[in-house]
Amino acid sequence: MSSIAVVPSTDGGRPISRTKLLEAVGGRLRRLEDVLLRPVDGAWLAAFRICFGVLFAISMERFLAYGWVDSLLVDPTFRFRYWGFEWVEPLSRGGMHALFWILAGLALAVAAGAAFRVTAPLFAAGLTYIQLIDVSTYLNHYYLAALLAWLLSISPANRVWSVDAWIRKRFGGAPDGMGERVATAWLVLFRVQIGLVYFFAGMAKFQTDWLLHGQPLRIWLGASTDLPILGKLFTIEGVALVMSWCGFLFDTTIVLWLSLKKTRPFAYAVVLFFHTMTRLLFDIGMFPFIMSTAALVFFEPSWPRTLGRTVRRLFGRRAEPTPEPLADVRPSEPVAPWRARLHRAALGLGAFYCIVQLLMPLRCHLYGGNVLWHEQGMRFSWRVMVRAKGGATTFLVREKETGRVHHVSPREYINPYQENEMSGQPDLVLQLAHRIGRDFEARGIPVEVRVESIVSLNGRRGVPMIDPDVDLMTVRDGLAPARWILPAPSEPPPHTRPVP
Amino acid sequence: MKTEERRGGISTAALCTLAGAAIVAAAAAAAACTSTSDRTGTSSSSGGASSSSGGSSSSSGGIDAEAPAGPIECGPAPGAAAPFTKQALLEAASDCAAWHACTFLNAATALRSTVQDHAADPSEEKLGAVRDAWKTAMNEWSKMELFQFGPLASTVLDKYHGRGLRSFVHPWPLTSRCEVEKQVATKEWQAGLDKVLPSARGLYALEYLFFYPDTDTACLPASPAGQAWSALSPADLAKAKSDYAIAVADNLVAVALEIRNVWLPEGENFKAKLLAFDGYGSEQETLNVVAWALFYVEKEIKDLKLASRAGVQATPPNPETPFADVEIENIRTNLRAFRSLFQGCSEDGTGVGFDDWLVAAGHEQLSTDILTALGNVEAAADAFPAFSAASEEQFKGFYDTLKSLTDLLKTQLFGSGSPLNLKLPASAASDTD
Repeated sequence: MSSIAVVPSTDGGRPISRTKLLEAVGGRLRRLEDVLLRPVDGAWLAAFRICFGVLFAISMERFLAYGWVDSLLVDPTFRFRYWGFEWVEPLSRGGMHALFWILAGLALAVAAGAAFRVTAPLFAAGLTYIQLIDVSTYLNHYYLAALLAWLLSISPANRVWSVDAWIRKRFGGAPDGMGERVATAWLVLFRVQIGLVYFFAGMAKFQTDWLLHGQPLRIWLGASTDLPILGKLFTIEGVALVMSWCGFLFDTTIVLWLSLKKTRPFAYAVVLFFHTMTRLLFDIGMFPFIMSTAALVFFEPSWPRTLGRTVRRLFGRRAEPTPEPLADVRPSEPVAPWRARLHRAALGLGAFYCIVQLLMPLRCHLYGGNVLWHEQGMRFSWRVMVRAKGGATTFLVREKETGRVHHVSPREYINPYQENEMSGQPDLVLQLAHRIGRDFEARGIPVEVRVESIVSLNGRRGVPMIDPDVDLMTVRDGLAPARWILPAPSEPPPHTRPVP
Repeated sequence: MKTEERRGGISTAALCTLAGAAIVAAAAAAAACTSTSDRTGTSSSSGGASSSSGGSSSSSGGIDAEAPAGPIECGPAPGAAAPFTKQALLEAASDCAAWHACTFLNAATALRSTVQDHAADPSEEKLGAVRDAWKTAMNEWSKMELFQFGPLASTVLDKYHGRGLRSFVHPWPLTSRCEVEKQVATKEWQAGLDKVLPSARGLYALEYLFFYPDTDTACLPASPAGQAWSALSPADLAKAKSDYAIAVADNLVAVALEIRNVWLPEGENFKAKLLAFDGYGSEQETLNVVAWALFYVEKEIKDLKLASRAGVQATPPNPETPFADVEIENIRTNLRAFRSLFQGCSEDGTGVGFDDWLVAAGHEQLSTDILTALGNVEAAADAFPAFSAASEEQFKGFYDTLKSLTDLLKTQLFGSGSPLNLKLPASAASDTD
């Protein structure tokens, strides 16, 4: 019966039957499906796999070399937990060190494409595990690394230039029909993921502190005035604001320039320059390397082969034989229905992932106010390097029976690194308040826990961040707007001048 | 394939651009790696570690002190007004530390003289002279010890150059009365003061030896130290205390000389190292380490000297000067030293300090807020009675006044919100984003 139902249309004012509408939509979806399933050269994914594996092997070694395995993961006696992952505990000291060595080995195995179906998911799981140990160690680029690791682990990234492919070829394993090709959907998925990181990092800068006051970049540039040549430049009035705008425009538009064939190489040169600068100016570890590598997904799928041929020619060496044609490999036989359903389900899952990634950074708007202050919806939303926030927190524990008040310093529970992170993140303050309260109650002393929390944002005077009248023992952490967080300061940030 | 190549290929020119950019980026990134490693202090090229170990052994008692005959000329406190630059700030902090090192050396030398006089011919008058000299030395030290950067600092506070000289002058809070008594009773120190723990040396040991009148011991009676102590007659005990006092006073002068030598241009010339960021890797990291000295008011004064007495911490008080009871005098002096580093070294606060940096960076208000809070704390300290006569309420009031200053430091001068990019002390380095 539904076939005779009509729906309004703008198509010349004539009503269109629902069936026709569904057919039209279905047709577009099928065309989209065709496009997404169209095979492309898998060289880009192999190059990504190799770079990613090598970078994360280095990343794991950095953790070991700098002593962060101990200082950030093993030594703390109190750990801030992620919702639903309160059960995650670190391994023993030896176990954690072994894990990082193993992860470094797994990352190299991923790079080599060796036993990829085993090593890649194990690496992704390990990377996720170490991030779940303590919220105070959250960094956007660790989160991105985990997402990329999972995407990579389910992708056919071992089809090209991998030990797995070599073994398959050498020992005559069954070909899977795609050869060295992968579905276009993989390219789209990685591009969407990387594109969203850039775009939302840019949108996070679309606010007055950044665009009108050049904060917190003014503050940060002040730490680099001893850099040769550049340091002097930073002390010139207006440079910080210009750099703020450049950063905003770079983040919000770079995906567009990388997507256009004519501008792509130049855009990538800008990408390299931008991330080199961020590496010079900030302690952001491997992030510039990760993003410089990740941005390569915007090139044509065969870019590694093209680059290889060009390099060979430059060095006067014979070009590699041209690989088999890759353009049109649509199977001549119709795809089995179960396989078609599987493809559709996979595409649906990919679409769902993209939608979640699109919506996650937007969730902060449900809370209103300034996300840089209340931090609700701050994590997992690519708000990279947009706030200079510090504070002092004292927990005031009042015994209900006697009225006696104890001042509890955070340092009795957490290390300076955790304290620095906690002081600007209300949900972490709440977690520690609960822990302190529970400790008193475990000794048979019912208590109320209030917090004196003075926080400075982007150079402003410190103001209370948490309502000092609220007993945090009565507050449960959740997704609802946190009424116990006081409003953000409304005055503009001070005009910081980088000083030589 | 060809279609795909035509569609998907990149031109040779584009590839050259790309390759060129990649090479530039790789070179720059390599430079950045080196730079950042140095800045975080994790670079193996830092000289801090080697000098640290070497320094520790030299300051642990092995120095054969060449005592100056009398007080050396230190001049007035340096504090010339100058336009602010970061180099000027490092220079001012160095000069101030060097001046305090000089005045402390004079005080230590004078203390040693009184100790020797007393040992030669003990009398109540000479004991009084020793006590006065000790108080003067303690007062000078209470200024000096705020300047905990470079070799004076522990390796925790200054992981690049710290070699813990401070603990050989004043080991508090890691003091041990029994350890002093053990040295007195067993004379183990005669094998070399470098074998004596810091907790039994320096100003603390001398304070005990000259301000504690009783003859009991804090060591367990059954312990070797306790038994040795009990075996001493009153006369032997007095002689043993006197002998040990001379050795400790000698050692104190030796360490004071070493501290002064740190700053002497013809000595270690640490000022030159600071100005060149030698070992620190960057100007900002050097300034971080110097600025961490200001945190003395948070950790030592607020948390260690006051919190327990104010009833805000459950741990029992660990008095800095348990026998001389000059706690509040020490705090007053600590606060003056804080001002000399934050505002300027001269008596009236003239000179380059962190306040000038804040003003130059456009944060006059924060500078004013900190100086106002400091003034309030100084006034509260000046009005505060001797610790032994103060009530818990008075301690709490003083604690709260001080906390308003330390909250400003933690919230706005240091940490992620610092307009000067000053890191919090001893915070674990890590990536940020």
